[in-house]
Amino acid sequence: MFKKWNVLVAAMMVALIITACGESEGTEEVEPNIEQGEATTEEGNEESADGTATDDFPRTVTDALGDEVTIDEKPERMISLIPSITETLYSLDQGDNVVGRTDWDNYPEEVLEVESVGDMTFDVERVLSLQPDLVLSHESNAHSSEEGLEQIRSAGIPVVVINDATSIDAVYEAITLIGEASGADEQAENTVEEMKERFAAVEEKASEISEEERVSVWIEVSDELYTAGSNTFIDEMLSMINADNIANTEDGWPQFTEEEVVTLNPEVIITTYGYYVEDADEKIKDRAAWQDVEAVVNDRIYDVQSDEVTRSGPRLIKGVEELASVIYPEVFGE
Amino acid sequence: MRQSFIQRYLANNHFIAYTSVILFCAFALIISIGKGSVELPFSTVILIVLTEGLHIPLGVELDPMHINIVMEIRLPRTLLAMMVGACLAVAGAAFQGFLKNPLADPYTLGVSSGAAVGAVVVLFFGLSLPLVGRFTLPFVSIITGFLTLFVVIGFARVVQRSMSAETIILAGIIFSSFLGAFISLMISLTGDELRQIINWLMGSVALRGWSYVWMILPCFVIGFILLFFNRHELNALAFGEETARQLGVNLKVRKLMILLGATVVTGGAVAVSGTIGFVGLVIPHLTRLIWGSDHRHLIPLSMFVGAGFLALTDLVARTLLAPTELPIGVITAMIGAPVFALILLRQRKIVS
Amino acid sequence: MITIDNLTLGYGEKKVIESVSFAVEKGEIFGIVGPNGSGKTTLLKAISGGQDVKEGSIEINQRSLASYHSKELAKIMAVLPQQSETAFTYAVWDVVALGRYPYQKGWLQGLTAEDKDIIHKALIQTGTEAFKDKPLQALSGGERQRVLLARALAQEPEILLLDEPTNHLDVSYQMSLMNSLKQWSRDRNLTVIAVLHDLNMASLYCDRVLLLDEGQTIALNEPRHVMKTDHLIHVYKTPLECGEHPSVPSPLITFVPEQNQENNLSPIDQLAIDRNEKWIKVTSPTRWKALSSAVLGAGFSWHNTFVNRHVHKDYQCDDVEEEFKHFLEAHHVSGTDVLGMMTAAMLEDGTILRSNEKDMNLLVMVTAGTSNAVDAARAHEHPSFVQQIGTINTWVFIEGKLPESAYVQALMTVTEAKAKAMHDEEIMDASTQTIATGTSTDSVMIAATQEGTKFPYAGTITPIGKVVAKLVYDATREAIVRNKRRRGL
Repeated sequence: MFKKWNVLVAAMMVALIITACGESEGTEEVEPNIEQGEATTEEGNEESADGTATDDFPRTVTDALGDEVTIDEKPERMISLIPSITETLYSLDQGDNVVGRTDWDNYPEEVLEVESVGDMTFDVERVLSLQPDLVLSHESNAHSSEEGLEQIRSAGIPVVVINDATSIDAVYEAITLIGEASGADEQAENTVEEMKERFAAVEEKASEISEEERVSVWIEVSDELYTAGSNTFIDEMLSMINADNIANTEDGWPQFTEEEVVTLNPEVIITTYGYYVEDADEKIKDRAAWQDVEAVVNDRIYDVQSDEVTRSGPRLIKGVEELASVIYPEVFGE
Repeated sequence: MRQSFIQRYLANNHFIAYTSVILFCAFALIISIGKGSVELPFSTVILIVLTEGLHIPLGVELDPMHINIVMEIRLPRTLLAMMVGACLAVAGAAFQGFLKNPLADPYTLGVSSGAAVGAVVVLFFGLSLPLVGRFTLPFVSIITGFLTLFVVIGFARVVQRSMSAETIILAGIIFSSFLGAFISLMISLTGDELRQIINWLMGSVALRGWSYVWMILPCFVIGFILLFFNRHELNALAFGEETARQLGVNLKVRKLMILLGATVVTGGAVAVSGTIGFVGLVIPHLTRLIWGSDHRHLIPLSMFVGAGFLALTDLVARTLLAPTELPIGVITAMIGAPVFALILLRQRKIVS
Repeated sequence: MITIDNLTLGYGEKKVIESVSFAVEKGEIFGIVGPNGSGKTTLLKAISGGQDVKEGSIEINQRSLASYHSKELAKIMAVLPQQSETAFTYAVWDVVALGRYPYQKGWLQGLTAEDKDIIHKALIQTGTEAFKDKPLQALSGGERQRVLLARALAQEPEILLLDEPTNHLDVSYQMSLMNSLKQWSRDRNLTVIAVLHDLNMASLYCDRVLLLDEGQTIALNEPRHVMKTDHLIHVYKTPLECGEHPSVPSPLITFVPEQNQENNLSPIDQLAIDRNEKWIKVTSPTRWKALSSAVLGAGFSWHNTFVNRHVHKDYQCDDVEEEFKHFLEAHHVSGTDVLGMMTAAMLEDGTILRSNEKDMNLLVMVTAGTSNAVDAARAHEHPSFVQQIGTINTWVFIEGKLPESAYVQALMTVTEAKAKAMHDEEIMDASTQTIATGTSTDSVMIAATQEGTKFPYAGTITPIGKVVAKLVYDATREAIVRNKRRRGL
C-alpha cells in the first residue's frame, strides 16, 4: 500500500515537472483522450523528425485508468497481456521488443515464438522472470487481474492500461497510447492515418449504395446464436458500409432465439466462427426453420475472420474490407 | 358394499390422476407452442398446427416464416423438451425404486456424467465418426453413459458380490466425481470451444430441431417399455432386493432390464439436451406425494408430469430474459433444488 | 417336503454352515436355534434361495432348489423377514398385494378378482384389514410385522420361512404371532421353518429344533431332547438351566446371572435368628432356594425370611394364608419373600443345631410337639383328616448347590431321620398304640444357597445326606425330649 502511494506521489511529481516544461493543458486532464495523447507526443514527433531518435525518455503517459505512469527508457522488454495490444505492437514495428504474450495471441505468426505468461489470469512469477521494462494491460481485464498488476507495479515495473475500445475512434486512441508507451509514436501516428484513409475510402464507396440496395445482415458469433449488437466494431462497420445489422436493437453481444432471427429474415448471414467450426455455412443451411430465410434461399452465407472484426487493432480495416466485399461484392469486389 | 366403494374410489382416483396429468401435458404443449420470443397470434399457431401438422386442408394463406417458426422451431423444441422431461422423470422414478433410495436419480449412478464425458470428448477432439456423422455427439454420449453404468456396476460387484443398493450408489458417486473432474480438466484444456461445452453442460433443448426429436424418440420408447414392464418388480424392489427375491422376482434378469431401460432413457436425454438436473429427482417425488408410490402408476404418471414440467420450464427459460435464453438446467435447478429441499424436510418429519 | 443333505455354505474361504443335514416334514414347525454367528440366518437364506450352496444339496418336494424358477419358488415358499423397510409410502393393501406377484402372468396383467379375494383373506387372517388403506409407516412395529405376515400368506405358500420373527415385538405380539403360526400350520398343513432367538419360544412352539453352533449341528430333535442344560451351556457358554414349564410339557430354559462374591462370611453365619414365644424368625441378606410344605411359599421358591410361628392349638381359620399374611404385616415383616410355617408346639423347646464340618455348612431347626403323633403304617385306622397345626417342623439350611432331585432326596433323608428319632424316643400313636413315625401335620423345609459346593445327591449315605440325617435326628430327639420334659413326662 505504501509503495503504491510512493509510486503515485513520485509519478505526480515527475509529471508536474514535465508538464511545467510542456504545455499546461496536459495536467488538467485525468481521463485519457486523444488530444492529450497527441499533445504529449508532439514534441517527441518533432524530435524524431529531427533524427534525434524517439529517445525522449523518461516520459509520463496517462493510461486508461487515469494513472500517470512514468517510463524511464524506451522499452525493450515489453509484455502484452491481451492479443489486440500484441498485434498493435507488431504493427508498430515493436515486435522485437515484445518478450511476453498470452496464450490467446495468434497474430502475427512470429508472436508464437514469444513466451506466454498465461491466459486471462497471467502468471505473475513468469511476468517478473522475463524482466520486462513495460507491461501493457487492458482496461477490460484490469479489474479482474488487479492484484497481479499491483504485484508487478510493486516490483517497480511500469504498467500501462490500454483503453477498451468499442468504437473505431477509440481504437485510434488505443493505438496512439500504445505507441506513446512503447516509444513508437511516429509509427502509431502513421498507422492511425493509414487506417483513417482506408476507412474513408470504404465509406466513400459505400455511399454509392442506394437505400434499395441496402441489405440486412445477421452476424452469427457462435452457433448458439450469439451475435454482435450495437456498440460493437461489427455494428459500426456494418453501418459504415451501409448494411443493416438486424441485431442492433440489443447492446453488446446478445443471444437471439432462432425464431427471432427467422422472423427478422436477414438477406446476408456472416459467421465469425468458421475457424473452429467446419462447414458453418452448411450447418446453417441445414437448419429446418431457416429454409425460407432469404440469406439461405439466395445462398448468401459467408464467414469472416473473427479477430479481424472484433480485435481492436490495425487489422480492423481488413475486417471492414472483407465484410464489404462479401456483402456488396458488386461495389467492393476487386 | 364398503369395499366396492373404496375400489371405485381408487379406480376413480387413478382416472382423475391420468386425466389431470394428460391435461397438464396438453396445456404445456399448447402454451409452449403458442408462446415464444416472437409474438404470433394464437389463432395463427392453431391454424399452422392444423394445416401443417395434421394436414387438414383449410385453404388458409399462411406466412411461410410463421410456419417455419411453429413447425420447425417451436414444435420440435417443445416435443424434445417433453421427451427429455419424460425420460429423466421415468429414469429417476426407476432408479429410486430400484435403489430403494429417494435421493437416487440418473446422476447418482454416474450415467449422466458418463454421457457428459462422451459429449465433451466429442466436442474437445472435434470427433466425427463415420456412419453416424453429425450425430456423433449424441451417439457417443449414449455409449459412454452405458459404459459408465457397466463400470459402476462392475466396480460395485468387485466391492461387494451381492451388490447392495448402497454399494451401487457409492460406486456411482465415486465415478461421478471422477468423471466430473475429468470434464473440468478437459474444459481447462480446451480453448475456443469452451463456451460450447459449458453451454452443453448446463443443458438446453434450443437449436436442436426434428433430427434430435427422432434421435431421442426410440430411446424414450424402448426405455419406457422396459421400465413399464417392470413396474411390479420395481414395487417389490422398493422393499429391498432380498424381499424382491423372496417375492419371486428374478433379480438377475429384472435388475438388468431396469438398469438398461433407465440408462437408455437417461443416455438419450443427456445426448440431446446435455445435463439437465433435478428433473429425475423432483418429478418422481412430486408424483409420489400426490398419487402414491405404486410404480404401476408412478412410472406413467411421472412420465407425463416430467414431460409437462420440462416443456413449461423451457418456456420460462426462453421467454424470461428474451431474447437471451437461459440454460434450461439453470431453471430446473432453481425450481428443483428448493422443492427438493422441502420434500427432504417433509420426509424427515414423517420419519421422526 | 424339504430335504437338506450335507449342506455347506460360506463366503469365500470361510465356511458358515458345515455339513448340515436334516429333513422337514409337511406341516411341521421346525426351529433353528443357536447363538449369534452360528450360521442360522445364513442357513435360512440358503433355504429361501438367496445364498449360493458350496456343497451338498437343498431339495424341495424332491426337486433341487436351484431348478425352481423365481416365481415358481415364491408360490411354494414365503419368507417373513425381521423387517422390510422401504423409503416410500405404500398403503398396507399394496404391500400385501405384492404377495400376489408370483401369480401374475404376462407383462400387462394386473390383479384378478381371485387375487383380490386372497389379499382380503390374508388381511383378515392377520387382523390387519382395519388399516389396509393406511401407509405402512404409520403402523406400530407389531402391526407392521402382521402386515408382512399377511403379504407372506398372500403368496399362499406351502412353506413359510421365518427369520427371527419376534425380534422387534413385545411379548404379547410375540405370543399372538406364534399362536397364529401354530394355528395355520395345523389348519393349512403349512410347513414352518423358523430361526428363533428365544429358546423358550422354540421349545414352546416347535415340533423339532435344530441346535447349531459354529455352523455345525449340535442337536436335532424334539425340543425336550434338544433343550438340555449341557447342550445349551456348551453352545451358549453362559450359565443356564433347563427346567419344566409349569403348565405345558415343554422345557423351560432359564439363565443364571453371575453371582458376585460380596464377602467371605458364610451365608449360614449371616443368618439372623429371632426367637421368642411368638415365632422363630430367620432372616438372611441373600435368598435361599427352598422346597417346603409351608403355609406360605410352599413348593420350590426363593426366600430370605423364614418364620415358624406359634399358634394356639385350637387355632382355626378359613383362610390360613390370608391370616398369616395379616399376622406378618402386623409384625412389620414384608410378606412376599417370607416362607411361613405354623406350630402349636412351644417354641422354647425348638432346637437349632449347626454342623461345622469342612464344606458341610448346615443349620437345622426343629420344633416338636408330639400330641398328635401318627404311625404312618396304620394311619388308615385314623378317623377322617382334620387340619391341625403341625407339630414337628423341620428346617434344613444347606450351603451349597443342589439340583432339584437332591432336594427331594434330602427331604427323604430328613423324614427318615425324623421317623427314627420318633422311634428312639418311643413316641406312640395315641389311637393305634404303635410307635409313631411323625405327627399328622408335620412340615418340612430344605433350603440351599445354590452357590458354592455342588451336592448332586442328598440321599442318606451321601456326604451331605449323612450330615443332614445326623443333625435332624439329633435335633428332633432333643426337641422331643424338651417337649416331654415340659409335659412332665
